[in-house]
Amino acid sequence: MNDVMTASQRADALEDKMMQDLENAIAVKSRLFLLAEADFTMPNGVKLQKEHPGAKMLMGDDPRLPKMPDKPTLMDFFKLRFAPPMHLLQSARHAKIAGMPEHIVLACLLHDIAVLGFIRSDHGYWGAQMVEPYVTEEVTWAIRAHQALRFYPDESFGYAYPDNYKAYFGEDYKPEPHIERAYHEARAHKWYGTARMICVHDLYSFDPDVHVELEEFTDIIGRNFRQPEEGLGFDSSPSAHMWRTLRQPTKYL
Amino acid sequence: MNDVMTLSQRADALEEKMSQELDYIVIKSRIYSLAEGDMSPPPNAGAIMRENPNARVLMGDDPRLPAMPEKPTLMDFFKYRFGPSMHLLQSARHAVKGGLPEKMVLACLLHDISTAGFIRGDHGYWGAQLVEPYVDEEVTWAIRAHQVLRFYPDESVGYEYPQSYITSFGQEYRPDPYIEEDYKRMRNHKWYMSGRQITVHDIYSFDPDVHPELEEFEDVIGRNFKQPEQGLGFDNSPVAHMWRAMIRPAKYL
Repeated sequence: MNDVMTASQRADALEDKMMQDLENAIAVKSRLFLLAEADFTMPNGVKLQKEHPGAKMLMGDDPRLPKMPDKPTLMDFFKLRFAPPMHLLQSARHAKIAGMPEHIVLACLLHDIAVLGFIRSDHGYWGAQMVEPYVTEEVTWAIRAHQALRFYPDESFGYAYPDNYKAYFGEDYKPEPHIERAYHEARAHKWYGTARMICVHDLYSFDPDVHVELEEFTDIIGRNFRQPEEGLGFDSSPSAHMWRTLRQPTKYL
Repeated sequence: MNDVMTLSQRADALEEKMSQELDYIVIKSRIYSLAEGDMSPPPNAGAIMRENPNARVLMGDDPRLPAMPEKPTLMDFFKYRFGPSMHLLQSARHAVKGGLPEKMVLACLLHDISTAGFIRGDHGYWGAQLVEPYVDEEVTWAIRAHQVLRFYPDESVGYEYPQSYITSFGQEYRPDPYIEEDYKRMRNHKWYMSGRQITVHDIYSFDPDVHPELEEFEDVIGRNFKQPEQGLGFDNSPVAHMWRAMIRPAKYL
């Protein structure tokens, strides 16, 4: 490790590299992204432009990311923005093999899209918010609820508290009060069973030999996800801006 | 500059240093990585934990960030999470001096909270979504609209295309088609002038001698922002998880 280079020199070097990658545009990180790194600096566009004469603040596509079609579909986001989705594909196939109805297979396919593509924290709530305009109310509800239900066993479904949660969060971890409340509400809800099925098919012990392709679910998506004609992000829905942020995460304004 | 060490090696070194020091593991959310132009698969928490047997993934408060009260208010977010808010305070005071009604003063005070504390791209849409359960419908609408209206002059109120936009985005910049379409819709809306008033009071030539304090607007907030009793983030509103993401931006799930 180069101890001679100070943190600020390193930051400058990274900035220069970024400028090259961005074809002389300036991309700044949003406050939330910086907070996640405990970085309290606030990027100053005026100052950055003075330091890089001729460069403009990025308002379009980020050249570092794969180009997306003008009217992107859910499949396009899977392919061009999300992290590898094998966990979701295995969950969905598991649900399909168990004979689950199509809407539950879709719920399994989408349950962790906020982890794969957006924000990890409270991923059930984020994922539900992203897909709400495009799926049935029951699917939205189940995706939201699965996050809380994962912490609570239900023997009647053969669902035990996950071993990997013990390893990840510690034996003594207790869910926060708002998750506890969400659990009790969900437990009494008419769609409890739907959300619980997501947990049942939420496989975390991956079989490295099982490779599921997204195309296996093309028809289920086609029949159960109301892909907007204008493309996700451009249909003026209440969550359109969320998909646009995924498309252009460094848009300046 | 250390040319021997690649960017990803440097990131690995930082990550290792972090988990040694902190005994907890932060896995970046996808959108945070995408904003760095990083499309690589996320690190495997299980593998990192095998190398750091005492470390756990972060599920509670982030020790790197200022602690927040259990029932945080809007003021707490201004103080403990948002970046410097002088622009918002000056806008709001400008609106007070312009004789605008209280709810419009609040709209000016909140119009850029997404830039100050959350996500920059489409900050009008994000900001409106954040405050929707807590403010008048007209305030939500105006905050959403201001982002769009800023690109379009309106001589009737003396609003010109901002000089700063020419500097930031270039002389030839044209807003995206979705912005253009929303502009046409908003231009004909009954609350058009409320969105427009935000742009009128959205001032950038700061007077360095004017320092309004947030406390100046305590009563305006108290009368016009329905602060939830349980605290922002814990009131089970449709956007509670968005405020929780600001409280704990690096929470694992």
